[in-house]
Amino acid sequence: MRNCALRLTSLSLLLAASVAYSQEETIAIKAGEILTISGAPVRAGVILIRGGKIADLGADVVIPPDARIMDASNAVVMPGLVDASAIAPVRGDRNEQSNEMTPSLRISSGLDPQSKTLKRILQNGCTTLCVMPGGENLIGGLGVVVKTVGPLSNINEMILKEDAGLKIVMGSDATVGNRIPRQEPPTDFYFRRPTTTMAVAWMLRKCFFDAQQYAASAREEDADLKVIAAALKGVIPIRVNVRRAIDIRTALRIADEYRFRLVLDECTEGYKVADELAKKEVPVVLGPFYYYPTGSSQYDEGREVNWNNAGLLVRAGVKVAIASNGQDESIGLLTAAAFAVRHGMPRAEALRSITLVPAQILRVADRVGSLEKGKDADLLILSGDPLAVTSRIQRVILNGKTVYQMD
Amino acid sequence: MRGKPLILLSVGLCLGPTVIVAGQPSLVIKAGKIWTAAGDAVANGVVVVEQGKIRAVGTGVLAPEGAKVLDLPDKYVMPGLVDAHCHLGLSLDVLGEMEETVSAVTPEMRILDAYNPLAREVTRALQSGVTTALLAPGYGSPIAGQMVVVKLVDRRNDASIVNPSAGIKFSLGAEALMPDRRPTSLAGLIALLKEEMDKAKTYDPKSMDPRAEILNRVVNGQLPVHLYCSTVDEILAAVELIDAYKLKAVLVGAREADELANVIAERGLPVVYMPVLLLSRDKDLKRVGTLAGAGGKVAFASFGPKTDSSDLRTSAIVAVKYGMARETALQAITIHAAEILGVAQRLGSIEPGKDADLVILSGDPLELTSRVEIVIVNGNIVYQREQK
Repeated sequence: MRNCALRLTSLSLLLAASVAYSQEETIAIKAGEILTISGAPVRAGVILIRGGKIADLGADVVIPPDARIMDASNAVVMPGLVDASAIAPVRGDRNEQSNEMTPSLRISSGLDPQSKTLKRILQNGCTTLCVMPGGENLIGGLGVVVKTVGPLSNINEMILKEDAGLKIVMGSDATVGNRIPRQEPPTDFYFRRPTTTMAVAWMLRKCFFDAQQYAASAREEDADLKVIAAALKGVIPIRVNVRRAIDIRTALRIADEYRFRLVLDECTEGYKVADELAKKEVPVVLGPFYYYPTGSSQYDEGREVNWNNAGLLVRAGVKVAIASNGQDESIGLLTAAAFAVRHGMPRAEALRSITLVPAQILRVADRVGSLEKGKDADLLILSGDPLAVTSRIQRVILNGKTVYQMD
Repeated sequence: MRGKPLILLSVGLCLGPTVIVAGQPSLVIKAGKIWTAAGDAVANGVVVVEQGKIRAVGTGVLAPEGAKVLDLPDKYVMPGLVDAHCHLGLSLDVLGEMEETVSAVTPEMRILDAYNPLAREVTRALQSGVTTALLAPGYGSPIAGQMVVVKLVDRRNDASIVNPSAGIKFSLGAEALMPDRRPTSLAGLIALLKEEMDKAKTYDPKSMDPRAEILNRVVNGQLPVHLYCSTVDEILAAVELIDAYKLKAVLVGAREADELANVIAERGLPVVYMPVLLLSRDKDLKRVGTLAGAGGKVAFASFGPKTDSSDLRTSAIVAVKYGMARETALQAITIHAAEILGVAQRLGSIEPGKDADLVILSGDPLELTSRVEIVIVNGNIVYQREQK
């Protein structure tokens, strides 16, 4: 109910805002170089912004006389970055731990628009991010795509897309928190399945089976099964967090059995099964790049890291996005992409992997991810090559407004 | 692969006259000794391999032109070893991955979903000459789950399956009893198993209960049951179940099986004996020697990673030391293991038409000093020892 009321308010706010926009000035950015991502780079070009959208761009765009000119003729302009898997801005636990399967849990209900991490993410150039539920439940719930800064008073204006992905976890994360008898007395709800890889596979199969039965019959309303059924039909993208090649294959096998499409997150050993992923046209969201626990950690599944995972996947023809996955937010996606290039990913693919590809995976490419006429005016002005460690983000523009400026 | 008809040739086992093998053999192995597991050992013989299958074996088989020839006059060739019960390729903490002990009855669990063919111990097993293995869930659940027979090759975890319906694992051992979950006693465990199987007898397919469906196949004798039991009381409890439900059964572990030789013989029950290296007392080691007299077929198992896969051959060697016949000990890690696992039509011996899964050793396989030199699976050399 709270959400509903908020939405109505936001609708009226939006209407008011769009009226305001129509009378708003036109901004013309004179750029040294425009990296459109969707097309060839433009040298010495102009971007016109009106009403929060890109009105026009190119080398021979005529600047209207009333336009406010923003001089970036020594700078590089590129689209705002898209992080396909982020944890901020949610405070506290992103997992509802009382149950192993919480498909209908919406992480958007836990969004904190005042979060301080938002500012840091923005400084790193990220203007769109997909906040996903945590990774401790087998089925964690529904993610949401947000713009990093909306009017801070109103969460709903941050939200670009609700129900943007259903989080499923395969591998050790789903099992480690659960206890087995013999070790401790079963006094709490953590005594539950799955405690093994076998049970992970079984529980997913059972859940998908039940959802199909549910969809085929006119049973009484079940919020969880409704979400699963929608995901199986492709209405909600299925995001499976998986690291080892064995678990990737199990995920592909189950997807074949229940005939659904999926996106693989993290995918540390993806390079071992790159050809299969390419053949089945499964996109991957890699990351984090800087956080590989090793040794005797309970999360260490014996996975084998290849620093050129991204490059090998791209070479095989897999659609690759690079995301922070919560761990790299302070480092930033540009650094992560530069890291991938260092180890073998082609430069153009690396830039796409943090802009257009994640936008396509999140199904928001009509709004963000590249610099094109009609898309949201989310862009970064950089002092130089985006992948150079010496370059700085000078300004971040979101929905046509400057939301960050270098001191 | 399963659907492909076997290459049946009249050539067969050729002893004596020279026979020219038609076609394009891919590999010819000449060896000092060939133990085929199907008849007497062949001295100075030849194995012809074509398209992953054994085409011919014997003396005087002429190597056709153009074939790759392995000339190994001082080596010993035998069928690829078959490990009749193990848990290879389950990463993570082994105890945590082997079974889902939160509930006692989990026939729906499939070991194949947890098996990682890329795991290091799988490669190590192959290097020990083990080419085929039964993968089973662990010992901590009375009904632990579905087993599978795989070849330890192929980089895809479902491409190497030899027998997907290898059966269900039951555990009647002390490991399956827990202080805080039913059952807590052997009697309680048997009562629980009977309850489950009685329910499964009257299973209605319309109810779409996959757990009952699997157990229904068990009580109908369609799916074999491998019952883990160790001591006399556990074996007798297993036999009680087998008799009551006419199960297609295999005894696994069976440390004290020799004491129930007549009971086992009467029913012709096959026994997958525990790794001999886990027996510490001389009294128990003597049991191994008398085991073959117990009636049914005997196979050895590594229970890997509880013991190393190379100890599969050690089990056979120790058994011979304590009185088992040489031939029986070798059969226990090849053809008899294959028969117990239901895969003998494809492997377990060197016979025309069977898969070309071969192990080449530096000497007699029942000598501790003999090393595995070359391992061949489906006609491909998958391991070759580095010469140092």
